[in-house]
Amino acid sequence: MERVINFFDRIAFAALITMLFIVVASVAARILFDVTGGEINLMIHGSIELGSYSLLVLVFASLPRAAVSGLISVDLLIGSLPQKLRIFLERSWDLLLSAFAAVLVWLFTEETITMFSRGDSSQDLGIPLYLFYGLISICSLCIMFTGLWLALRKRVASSQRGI
Amino acid sequence: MDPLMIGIACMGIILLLLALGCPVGIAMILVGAGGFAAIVGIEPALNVLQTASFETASNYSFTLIPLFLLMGNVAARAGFSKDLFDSARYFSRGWNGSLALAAVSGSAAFSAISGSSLATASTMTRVAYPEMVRQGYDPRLAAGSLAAGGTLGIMIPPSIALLLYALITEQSVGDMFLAGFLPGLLAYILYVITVSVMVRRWRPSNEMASDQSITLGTALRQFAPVALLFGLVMGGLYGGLFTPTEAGGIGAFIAIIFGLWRRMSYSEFREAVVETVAVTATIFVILIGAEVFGFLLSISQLSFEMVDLIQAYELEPWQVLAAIIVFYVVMGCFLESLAMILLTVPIFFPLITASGFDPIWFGIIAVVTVETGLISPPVGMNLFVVKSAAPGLKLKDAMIGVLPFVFADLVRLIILIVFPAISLFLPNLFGHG
Repeated sequence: MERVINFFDRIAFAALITMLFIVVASVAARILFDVTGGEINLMIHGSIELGSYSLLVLVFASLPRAAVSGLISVDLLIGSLPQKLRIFLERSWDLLLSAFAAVLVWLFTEETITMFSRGDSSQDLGIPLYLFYGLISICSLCIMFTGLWLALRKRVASSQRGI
Repeated sequence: MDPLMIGIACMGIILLLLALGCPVGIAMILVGAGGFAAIVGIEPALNVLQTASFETASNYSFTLIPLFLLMGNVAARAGFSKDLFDSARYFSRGWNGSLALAAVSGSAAFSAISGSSLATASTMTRVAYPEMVRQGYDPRLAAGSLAAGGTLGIMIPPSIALLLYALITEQSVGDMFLAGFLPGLLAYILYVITVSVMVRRWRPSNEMASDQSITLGTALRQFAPVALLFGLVMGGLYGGLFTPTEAGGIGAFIAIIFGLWRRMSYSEFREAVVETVAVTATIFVILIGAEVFGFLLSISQLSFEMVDLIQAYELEPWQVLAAIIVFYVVMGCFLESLAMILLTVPIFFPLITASGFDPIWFGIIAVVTVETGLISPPVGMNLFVVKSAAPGLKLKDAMIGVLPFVFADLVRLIILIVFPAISLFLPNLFGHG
């Protein structure tokens, strides 16, 4: 599972660098456009759309890593519970994450099929939208399995792991 | 069941889930969607879940979150913190407790390029704590100044907390950053005073003279890259050269250039990116949760009923504000800072605007209160971060050492409430409505 998560890390990595490149290139192109009085126009068409979809891919591809690293929660009150109960609760939250991701897989897969059959594409660049929905469906599937994997693996209660 | 009653029941369930350790974002998604389904039906609730997830994760305005995070994470690994600490040591030499002052000053400077309190506290502790121990600093003074100094990251722009507040309340990010300047500076001054007082009680046993090899020129050279990075990002933003999103991108890009110049390795850069994407996802789970929960608040009319209730009881605006601040101070001891802002602001914001308070000013008050929670025992997050980065430090010492700083924060909170102009002066100067 760790290798699968590493693979999704790389996708997120690529999405972040793409987003950074788009933003920096857009600013540089705009400054060049202004400085040359509009003579040199290297502005990226659809940069906002590209930035938005890069963010979408980044968020969904990085969720498995975030689940492994630990989502933000309040540990204080469960710290006083018996260890077995704490582990049971932690497993329950991982299963809940998995269930949420399963619902997303279902919703986004349906949407992928709809987008594909309707031939919908993005407004500025005309990129087929089923590609994005398909990709985040796969990411959601990975989140679902990550949640299951976390729930089923051997563990020590998080409050014992220490910060 | 009445939608309002469902809304109230959902608030109770969410608090119970949080108390049982359920991740904040997941609790908000589950309860938000569940409550919405109970009021409107399962099909619309599934639509909300799909729309909120897709729209939030592809909202262009939110691209500045990973970009500013990347800037701070790269800066943390590029060795800026060591230079800033050394530079601050030069400028605080000759003062009693100069290392503690340098730790606070270095943290303030690092905050200007890192929007995260935890990153600031962790990075500065690794650099400063060993030296402070070597010079016989009381662990309480050392840990207290580092934990408190770290909190400056949440207020001094570019701050992720101010950014999130601006995004969820649809305020100008530029105005929020401007509003954070003077309260951040005030915090810095109060922390310096606190260190000066603390050092009288916990005098370092082996304080050595500052390293004579550091000259004014060296100190300025060490400080220059951070000043340049901060100047370019903020100057470009307020000079109209780029938007907040672009400021984040340019800041991250320049931080990477500086990192390469300082021979940051590929593995360090990779670490920075992996941490950025993991934290981004963590924040977005809560953002999606806040969006789903917002649908529930809207359909159940909970926030509006609260406004009506306040009007029915003819509560004065200051009473509303006092109740919210007390809630924040108490919850700040238990809940993570960003989670608390994302969870509570959608509920309190209508009350604040209905009471006639300035939303920008309230953002500062909320963030200052949350900031205090970062160092308030028993669960101030920065205390744990400092402890994990400082070998041999006892958590109890950190908790005792930070108490004077908590007091300084409360003094600042009162000052900012009594004098809203401190927060609003710069936004007004630059044309905030």
